[in-house]
Amino acid sequence: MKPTEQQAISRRKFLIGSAAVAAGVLLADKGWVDAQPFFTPEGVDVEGLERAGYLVRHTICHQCGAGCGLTALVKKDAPPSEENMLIFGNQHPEHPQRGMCGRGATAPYTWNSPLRLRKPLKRVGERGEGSFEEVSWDQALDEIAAKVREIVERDGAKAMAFSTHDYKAEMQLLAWPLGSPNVISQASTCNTAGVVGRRWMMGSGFDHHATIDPDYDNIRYVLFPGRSLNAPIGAVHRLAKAREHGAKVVFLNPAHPDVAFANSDWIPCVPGTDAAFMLGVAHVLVSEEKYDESFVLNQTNLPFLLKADGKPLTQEDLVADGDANVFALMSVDGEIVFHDAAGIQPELTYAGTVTLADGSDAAVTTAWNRLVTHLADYTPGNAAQITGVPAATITRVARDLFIMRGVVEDTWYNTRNGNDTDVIMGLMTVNALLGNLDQVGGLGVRLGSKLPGMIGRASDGTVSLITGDSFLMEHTKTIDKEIYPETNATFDAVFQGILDEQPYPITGLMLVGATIFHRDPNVARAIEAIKKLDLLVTVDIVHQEICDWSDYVLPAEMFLERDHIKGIGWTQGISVALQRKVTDPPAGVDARPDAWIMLEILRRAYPQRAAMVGHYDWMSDVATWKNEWMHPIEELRIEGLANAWNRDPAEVRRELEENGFITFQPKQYGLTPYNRPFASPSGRLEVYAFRPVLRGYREHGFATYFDPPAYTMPRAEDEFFLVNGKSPIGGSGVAGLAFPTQYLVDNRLWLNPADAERLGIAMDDEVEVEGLDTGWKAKVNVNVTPRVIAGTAFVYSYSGGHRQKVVADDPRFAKLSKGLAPHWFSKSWVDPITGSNSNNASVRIRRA
Amino acid sequence: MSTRLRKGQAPTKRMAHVWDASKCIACGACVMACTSTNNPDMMMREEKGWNSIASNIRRIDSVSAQGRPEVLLVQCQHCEDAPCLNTCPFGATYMDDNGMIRLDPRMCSGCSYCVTSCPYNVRWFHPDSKLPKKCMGDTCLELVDKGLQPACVQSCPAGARDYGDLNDPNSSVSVTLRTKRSRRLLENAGTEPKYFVVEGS
Amino acid sequence: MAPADLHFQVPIAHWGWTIVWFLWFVGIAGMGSVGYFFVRKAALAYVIFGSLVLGLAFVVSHLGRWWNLPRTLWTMVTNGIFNWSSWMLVGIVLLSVHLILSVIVVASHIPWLQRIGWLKWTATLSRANAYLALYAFLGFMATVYSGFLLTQASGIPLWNTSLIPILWVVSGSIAAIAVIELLYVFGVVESSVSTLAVRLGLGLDAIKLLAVLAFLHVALAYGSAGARIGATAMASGEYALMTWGGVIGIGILVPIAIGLYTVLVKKSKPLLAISSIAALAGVFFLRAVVLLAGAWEPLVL
Repeated sequence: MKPTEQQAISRRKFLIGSAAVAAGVLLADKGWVDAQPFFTPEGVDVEGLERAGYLVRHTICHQCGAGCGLTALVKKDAPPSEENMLIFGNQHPEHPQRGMCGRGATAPYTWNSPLRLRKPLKRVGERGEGSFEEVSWDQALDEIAAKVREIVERDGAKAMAFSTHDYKAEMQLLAWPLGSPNVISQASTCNTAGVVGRRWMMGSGFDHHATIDPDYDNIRYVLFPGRSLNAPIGAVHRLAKAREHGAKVVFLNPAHPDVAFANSDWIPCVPGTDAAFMLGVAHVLVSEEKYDESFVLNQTNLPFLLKADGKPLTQEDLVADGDANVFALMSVDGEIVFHDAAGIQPELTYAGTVTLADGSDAAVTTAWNRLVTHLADYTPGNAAQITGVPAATITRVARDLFIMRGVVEDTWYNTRNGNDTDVIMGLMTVNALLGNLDQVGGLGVRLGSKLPGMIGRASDGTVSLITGDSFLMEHTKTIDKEIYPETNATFDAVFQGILDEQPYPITGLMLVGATIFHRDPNVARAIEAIKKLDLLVTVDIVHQEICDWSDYVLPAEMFLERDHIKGIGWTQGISVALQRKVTDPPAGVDARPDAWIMLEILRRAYPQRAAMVGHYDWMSDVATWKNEWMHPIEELRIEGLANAWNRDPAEVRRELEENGFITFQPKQYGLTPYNRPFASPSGRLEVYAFRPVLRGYREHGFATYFDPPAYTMPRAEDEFFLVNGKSPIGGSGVAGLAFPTQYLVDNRLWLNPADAERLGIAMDDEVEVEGLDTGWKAKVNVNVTPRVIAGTAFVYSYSGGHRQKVVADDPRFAKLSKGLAPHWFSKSWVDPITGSNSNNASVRIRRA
Repeated sequence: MSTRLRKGQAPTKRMAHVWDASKCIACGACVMACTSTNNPDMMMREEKGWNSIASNIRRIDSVSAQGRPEVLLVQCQHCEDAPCLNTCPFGATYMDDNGMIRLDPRMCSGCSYCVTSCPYNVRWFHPDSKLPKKCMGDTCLELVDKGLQPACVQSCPAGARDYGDLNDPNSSVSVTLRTKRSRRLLENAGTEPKYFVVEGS
Repeated sequence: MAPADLHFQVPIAHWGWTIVWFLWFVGIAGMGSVGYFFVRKAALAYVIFGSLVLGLAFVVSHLGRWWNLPRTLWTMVTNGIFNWSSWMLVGIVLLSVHLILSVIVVASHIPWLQRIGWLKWTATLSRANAYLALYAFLGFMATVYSGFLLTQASGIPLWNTSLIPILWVVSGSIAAIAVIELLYVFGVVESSVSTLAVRLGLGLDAIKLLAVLAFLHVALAYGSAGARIGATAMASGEYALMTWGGVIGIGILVPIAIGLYTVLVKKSKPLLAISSIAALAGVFFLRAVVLLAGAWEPLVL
């Protein structure tokens, strides 16, 4: 352990040890000699620094969506420049997501990047051409507002769609008062499969990818199926410590993840077969009786009785006027008991006949019995044939998981092959058998932070701001939910609305921080849709490829330039962090806050509707707006947070400013689901998911393996799966465009040496890649590497195939235009129930 | 400031880098932090020779003979018998009393002999000053002169880097090297490098 | 498959064509000085001097910080820092002294200078065998230095062989003989000297051929990975044409063929001119391929 982590900290001295002094010396070296005396091995004298004209600013990194803790030092009253600010990882040893990875390290590169958007742009050439003229904010906002008004009045408010990665609330400030429910994030190309899988097994509130996470501090064995753990970096940091204490880390992935360089096992598998692997592991656990029987009996629905049709036996089946939401079990005494009763001692293997309320007899059996039968198809040998992983490895993983009391991580980005929901269900089945939930070194369940949002909507359509402003929305169902009943957000529905005008036409689209071409599958179709739009507005930090297709491009503030408060995810305790403004934008960058942009468009289109959310014409000045609109809202959020935790708001703010975060509650083990039931129909971890069965989506509730439906399966010897993954350097829309990314992230196509030899392809050879489903053709250089399984090609997402004109025109960024964007080749297959999209594809590869 | 050693003088400290390959996640934070700390003027400029960013750390991706993917980070090894020190015609390259190989820019004419004589290929030419840059950079030298950790150590999120005195048996690097298996690069080159690669925990 | 860590020195260290010219001129001047001991012609003295000046001009122009050279030397001297373990420093001293001696020799050949009374000592000195022996020895050592310059660059395994100084001396001798042959062609040198030179050249060409092939063979067959990379670039890679066509074909086989013809059949000035130019070009190509093919030892394969 570094000395920095051993030293005690005081309120006023939060940067500690050598890091603090280092910062001091750095300052001195950059001509900040006056600041140096305030840095001592004991910590940083913040007050002294402030008196001397230096600011310490803790913030939340936003170079990707993980939100890790950074700290910046800035010189007061100095012009914004790289020389006047220093950014490094928040060194507080208790920070739940401390540290800076390769993406965070690109933040200063992004801030004043030649690719940074500097002024509002208006398209002057054809869409896609990348020809713009700079216009004033007034002109841009007035023209956009007029167009929005035209669309709303001609096609209805719902014809306006909005999409973003992280700024949903900001977009809702415009969309909801307009009357459009259609703020649709990118979830379906990221996490939808996992969210739906978790919701089906644990219920709402337990479905978010940042809610369930391994207890890294105490982990003994962790298996990452399909996750590369390139973020958040706090998790990586804690995992590194656990590894030092002997923890075993295993990645199941078609391609070798960068984090696996660190003494980890990598099990290469055929893409889209993780569910078979998980069910193979489950098979071993069950057949070798290596499962936690108490957990299975008391915390899962495996003892629950199922009828022959696969539906659960309910109280309604058995008792007149019984409750359909109360499920039946057979007790060890041979009595039918209901799941909501106390002190149940269920029989796990019961099979027999019960008499229903109507007097008829029905054959019933426990979900456990059905599971045993179900798993019979997934012997390690069978699973090996599907996954390409040796049967012995599957067996070994199962045994190690059990012996070492391990966990299977529940993934983040998982929308890949079209069968991904079953992967999550499969891995949660394994976790259920291991019974290692919410225990020390287990899979922890994080509780909510109680941080109130800026804007919210009740089920009756009442929209409320935290300020108390409210109004009623007529249409609240988003277009994607009209098509995909279980989705959390499927942007593909917007393309359907544009192209097919089904279920209704979409004619206007607004994007904030949404890198469409590097986020949504089937770029050709996206282009076709975009060409049909009446209005496309993009708000972003750097000039993304989608900007070239937009009618207006508006420069937004980056995280270094704004204040915000948000909860910290992927942790065990309950923590909230403060994103504090570090600096103004660099000279020449006229960037504005996302929320202000949305509100100004609304005000210029419909002043009365802007008034519904408290925005008025005298707020068109950004500084005034920040003082009069934004600041009070952030204060109210802090007040709400403080009240929820019985804390003084002023004290909460002070602590947030001093440390960058507050942990309101450390991890409490043994809570969920033991003392706090899940939100599933049974309140238990439903290995047999009732929800999709009861809603008629599925015949049975178990995870199942089936061939990926998302693409034509590669069959010929020059046909391959094309998979993609993120690098911890350039693995985000913003970091992908940073200068160092083009040198530190490989944007070649990875091919296994066996495949390369067969096709006569050598290292760095140029090949032509053709999508089997999309027909898209592109040329790329090859990296012949065993880092990818045979039969599969791999590319890092975001790091190649950038086709915007500014990139092509600037020789410093020329390398970014090389490589591939994986979405050129994926056809955008969407699961009709879950709405989960899929980013993988199949391609033909030939020597160019 | 640390003092220059004359021929035959032994350093009082033997400062060494430890890079733990078993912990490194290849995130590149140290590579970028090195540039932004030591050569901020090079943040948007390529190091053409290496086809990389202008960092004092080189990243090499490779595969072991057994087919295991590997990454190697290389920087100045601060060799105890440094070839660059022997070849520099003007004595610009020297060892200081911390055992660090340093460059006196006053005495450098940019002949590049230190570049060709380094078996580790860790020096690059600054396009403006034409100085042969390497670890440590100017700002990191300031840090270590004050007994602090260099930028690469501070930026590593995985705790894979350390820097300390081999002469101090209680230093963290000494403890690590006593307790973990490590190797040095090009061991048989006779350079006695002070950059240690920890291979396993 | 190419190693993961494959770097040739030119893009990084920038020891490129200017150094090739430098090494070539030093070879001509160095071994030319040995030749001058035997053939004391003004034209040869001018060629040596000219080569030295051009060689030095090339090497100084190569310095990334040439403008810092005065300060460098001043700091060096005032601090008493002389790194005699560096062959480059040894070479700087050798070349400097050799240049001074060369100026004296040149001065002894210029009639109008000799008319200046106080410069007559240059002619006296230049007639002394001891002086010319020193001149020859320094030239020889400068050539040796230009070989050890590469040998000592321990980052480039292709160069870390004792063969390079010897090869440089042999090829430098061939260059000096070629210059003398050219002087014969222009009527400056007597035919008898030329005949002797052709015979000597034949022997040296044979040795050079053996040395070049041995250099390649040892590096390819027994060298480290870095040496093999360099030798492969010379033998079958990027520089193969220059090696086989330039160094061996033009530089060795053509002079051997013309030399044999001269010895066995008859002497022809045009052929000797071709042979000399080919030999000089071969010496140039040799330095070029060895320098340009230099690569680092890959840290991982």
